[in-house]
Amino acid sequence: MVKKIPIGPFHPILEEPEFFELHVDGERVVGIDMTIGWSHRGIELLSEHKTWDQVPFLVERICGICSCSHPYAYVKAVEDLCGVEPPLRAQLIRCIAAELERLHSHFLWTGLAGHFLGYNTVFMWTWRFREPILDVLEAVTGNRNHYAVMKPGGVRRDIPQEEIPNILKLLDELEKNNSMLTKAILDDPVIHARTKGVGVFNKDQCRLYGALGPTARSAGYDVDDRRDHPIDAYDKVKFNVILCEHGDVFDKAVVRQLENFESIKIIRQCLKLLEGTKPGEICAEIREVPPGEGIGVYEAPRGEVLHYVRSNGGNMPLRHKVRAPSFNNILTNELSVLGNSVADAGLITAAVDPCYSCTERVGVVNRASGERRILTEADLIRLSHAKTEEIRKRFAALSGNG
Amino acid sequence: MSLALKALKKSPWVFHVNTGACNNCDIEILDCLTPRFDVERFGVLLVGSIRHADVLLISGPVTQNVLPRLRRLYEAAPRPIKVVAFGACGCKCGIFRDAYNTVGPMDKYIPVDAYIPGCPPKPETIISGIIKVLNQL
Amino acid sequence: MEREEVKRRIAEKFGAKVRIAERSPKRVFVYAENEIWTDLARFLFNDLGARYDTGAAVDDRDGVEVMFFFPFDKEHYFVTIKTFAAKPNPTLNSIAAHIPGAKWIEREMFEMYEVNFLNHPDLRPVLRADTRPADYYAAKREVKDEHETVRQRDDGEARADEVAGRPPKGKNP
Repeated sequence: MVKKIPIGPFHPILEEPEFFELHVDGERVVGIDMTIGWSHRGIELLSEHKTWDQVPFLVERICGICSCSHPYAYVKAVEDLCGVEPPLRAQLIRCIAAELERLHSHFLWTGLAGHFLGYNTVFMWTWRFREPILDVLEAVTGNRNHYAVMKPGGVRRDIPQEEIPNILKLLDELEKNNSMLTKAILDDPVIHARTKGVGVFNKDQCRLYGALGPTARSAGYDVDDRRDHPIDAYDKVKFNVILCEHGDVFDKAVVRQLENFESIKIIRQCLKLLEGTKPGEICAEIREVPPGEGIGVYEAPRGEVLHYVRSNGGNMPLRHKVRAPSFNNILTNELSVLGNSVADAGLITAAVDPCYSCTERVGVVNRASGERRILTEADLIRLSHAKTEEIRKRFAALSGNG
Repeated sequence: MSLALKALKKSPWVFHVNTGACNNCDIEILDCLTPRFDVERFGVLLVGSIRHADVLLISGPVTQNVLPRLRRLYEAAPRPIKVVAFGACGCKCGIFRDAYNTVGPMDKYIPVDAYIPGCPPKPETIISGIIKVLNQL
Repeated sequence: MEREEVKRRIAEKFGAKVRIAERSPKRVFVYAENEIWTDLARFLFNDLGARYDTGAAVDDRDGVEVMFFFPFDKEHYFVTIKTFAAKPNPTLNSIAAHIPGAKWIEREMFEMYEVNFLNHPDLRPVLRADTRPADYYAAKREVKDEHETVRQRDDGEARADEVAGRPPKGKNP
């Protein structure tokens, strides 16, 4: 007998509204319906009333966590349209801001996943490690989150020379902290039991669904736009692309943890290259935008962001198409939740790091009798914590007897 | 001050709602719980259910999709409840004022007791805002 | 597969039914009619090894231009398939049955531009609020003019308050 469990629109683990309806048979999930659109504000239609320079401020606010990604892809689309290349110093500043944002986003995800699993310490520690990144971003760009550093043709602000030692100090600290976290999280047997084999999405499915970012790389689907469609300074630095093979929640965590090391490497190389550029040359001027089309892609923390702009020669875009990576990745939940339990469903939908937020209620509908049971966010988290506890007890008993 | 309000003032439980915001305000709220700002030492707790809430912290320009749920949520909240509109989007729709799908700001639909502006408001602003709300009691 | 090779094989298979335009070393645009665009997309995806990315739609005055992006990652360029659905009642073949990742983007193009995708497994709005009327297509050129008139500031009490610096009204329960 199949029951339906609605989750949302207000998800226990992340802050944006999302609505899932799980079809369950006993404790196993056999299907899922997803309703999105709660945060649909009509940004593409708003862009058509903003000038080319005003659009980055608008697209920043598509998502607050990856608030550097959307302006970056947009300015690359405009530069593709105009055929303009920004000066090297601007390219490096963009890469530095973008990689710092990747670091803060991955730490954020690790914290939230830990919180959902019942490891509140992980949540508190990762978010504490994240704070110095936001301090550096504030010193360099002016704001903790919406940096407003991108501009078609270059960047709006230069990195002051006196901030660079602070950035280097931050990177050393982060490397230490990330190593500690990686060892602590990835060696924990309870986390292994909770996340290995859970929410599997394999390589062929990734290809058919167009999965992107860590979601795809965790399954071995090799797609990383920093290497494949390199923009700005990404072809001037060396880094590795992290690939795993199973595509479960554990691999998704591994990919994100190891990518932090790569980001630190990239920032160090960019800072070194920055010494060879002249301070002040941060923007190539774009006098007017000719008619035509431009495609801009950038590898955000969640995957590839694609912006398409079309111009008819005016001072506003004729059409601006935004495709966030979560649009492709959330669809993968269709297959990855099947066969798992309700306690894991929240974790699986959050493992693709959706750029949404949800909270509100989970309702359980018994299709046969029409009876409706409501689970709150607290209940869903309690279910998840209970499962972790049970696994911990099992391990404790085993090690006690063995 | 009645006994209920005295108890309320000691330790407000906050329920957070996102009516279509970009998520940045929500991350800053969660940031307040983290060791650097640590609002839990003031007794402020983030709860998972509207039934336990004393303060409703709402962010986001209200989108058409979320509006009926927001109304139902406000009706389901136990009284007395304080509503705090959060962020530039919560106060006045922010940059999404002319968007076709946003029907906010939220004070058109539910009564709001305090506004915390900012895009996003820094955690220090949030703490100061919550204290002002508490002092209103 | 290299760009020249891809262009040659597409021209070989589809001949005069497609027009290939190379705008820059990284951007190739292929214009195809509705009858063959899904065949072309599947050719790129299955035989030539492109990656499925996403789609976009633009409302030109007399119809809707729909495009799908298929990047070739190893060789660092994008191939974009463009097709055109004439108004009224723009209709196109759907690729969602062959590439499941296209399900949601086709639903979005349907709900914004009223493009009917034939043989789509589940063609219904994906972002639209359920309180909107069933025939509300937000990005259609005719509907956009409506948004623009509503976009005027409403000169009412709220605006007068704002100008006079009076605080916004909120009631205490």
